[in-house]
Parts: sequence; structure tokens; C-alpha cells
Amino acid sequence: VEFLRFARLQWDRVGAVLALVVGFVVLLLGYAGTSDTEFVAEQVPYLISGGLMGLFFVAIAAVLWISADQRDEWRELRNLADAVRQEQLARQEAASVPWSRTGADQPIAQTDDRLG
Amino acid sequence: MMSALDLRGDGATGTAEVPRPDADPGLVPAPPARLGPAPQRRYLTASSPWRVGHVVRAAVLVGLGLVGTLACYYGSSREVLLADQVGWILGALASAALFCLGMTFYLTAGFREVRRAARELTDDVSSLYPRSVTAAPSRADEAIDLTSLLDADELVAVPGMTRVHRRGCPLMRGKNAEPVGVAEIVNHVPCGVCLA
Repeated sequence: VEFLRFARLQWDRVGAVLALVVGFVVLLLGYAGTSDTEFVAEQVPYLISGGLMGLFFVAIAAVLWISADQRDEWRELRNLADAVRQEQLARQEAASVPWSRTGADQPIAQTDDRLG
Repeated sequence: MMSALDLRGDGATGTAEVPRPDADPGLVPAPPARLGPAPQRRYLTASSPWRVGHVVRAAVLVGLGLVGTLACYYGSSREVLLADQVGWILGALASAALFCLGMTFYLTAGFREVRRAARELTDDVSSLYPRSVTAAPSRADEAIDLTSLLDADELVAVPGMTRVHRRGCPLMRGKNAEPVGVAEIVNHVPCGVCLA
């Protein structure tokens, strides 16, 4: 259950590992196929299916892993924005002067000395 | 108008509008801090960096690459001569190029969106927390009193050279520096290290 939860949350990283394993298996199968025959014309299909497809899976694994990092960074940006929003809420609630005299047209954030 | 707290742009700021008291016309509502021209920030709403168009285009390129590779595998496996397989090999390489193109497009689109979001967040935060930047005092403002240094016998120069230095200047280390008199200093230029 714990692994399923992890796999659901980190599906891209789990997919990357799976794609890596599949890629290496396909590469090994391609190698086995080419080593079984001494005719180049019979080795070419293995080169395409085993070699290229294996590399494709490895590339997919790399892309999935990097995209997982990008998703993490994206979530982090959202969390930062939420934190800023919460702080602004707290500041506005703490501000007891919602009205000001004529000419006091400075935004609240700009008049807060604590911000330096 | 989107207020400062309305980062998500959904109008949920958590604060209520304060009615303007009619009794005092001199009172005007203080405008809340804003996030610029009420932009709709994508990083606040989207769950992933990629847009649908990015995913579709990348999937098309990757799919073409995979299908092309499989077709080339099928075609090459039906040939018995290497000379007849060359075309299929080239086709497989072209398919691999399409595949790589799709993957690269997917990654670069993600990096671009994340960078844009980081830039937008920086803009938002800097507009919420403006800071006044005070320039560091220029060294030109701090005029060096050469006369007092001259009186204190602090200025030295290497005979034949054009620059005058303080006695402890690192550029004078190991050199045969001699004190500079009032008559000679007009022929010298202040050192850019110790007298700048």
C-alpha cells in the first residue's frame, strides 16, 4: 500500500526506473539476437529493434526523471507563492488603518518600515 | 481590480471591502498593494509546467519516431541483402531523430515554463515587498587629502616612475621607493590602488 501511494505520487520517477529497466532488457535482447547470427543482414533488424528501441527507452527514462525534477520545482514555486499570500493576509489583518487621509496613496507594502 | 492578496487571481483575498465613511470627505481609501496589472499567473493555477500544446506536439514527434522505428524494423527484417536494408537503416535513424526532437522539445518547454514562473514569482514578490536601494558611496566622494599625506611624509615614488603611492602600498613592495617632495609631486599621478 505504501509503495502504491509512493508510485501514485511519484509516477514519473517510478516510470523512469521502469523505462530504464525495460531499456536495458531490450538492449540485452538485441545483443543476444545479433550474437546469434553471423550474417549482417540478419543483425540489422536486431540493431534497429533492440539497439534503437533500447536507447529510446533509456532516453524516456532520462526525460521522465528530469521532468519529475521540473514538476518538483513547479510545486515549490506554488508553495512559495502560497507562503507569500499567507504573509500578505497576515499583514493586512494586522494593519489597523484601512483608511488614510487624502494623499496617502502609498500601497501598504511600501509604507511598511519593517520591510526596509 | 485584483488586490495584493489575490495572488491566484480568483478574487478570494480573505479581506472585506471597508465602506467609505460619508461623514468625512477627506478620507479616501488607501489603495491596497497590487501585483501589477492583474496578470493571470500560470504557475498559480496550472498543476504542471507543460501546456496541452507542448504535450501534444512532443507526443506526436515521439510517436512518429517510435512508429517509424518499428516500421523500419519490420521493413529491414523482410530484406535479405544488406544493400536493400540501407534505406531502412536510414529511415530508422531519421525516426530516432524525430524521437529525440520530441523529447528535447518536451524538456525545453518544461524548463522554459519553470523559468518563466520563477521570473513571474520574483516580479510578484518584488512588487509586494519593494525595497529602496541606496547606492554605495562613491570612492570619488571620499577625497584624499594629498597635502596632509605629503606633510606626513607618507607619499613615495620610485625614481623614474610616474605614479605616487602611499608608503605601505602593495605595489611598492620590494621596490626602491623614495619620499616625494612638494616640488616633485606635480609630475606624478596618484596610484590607482592606494590613492584611488
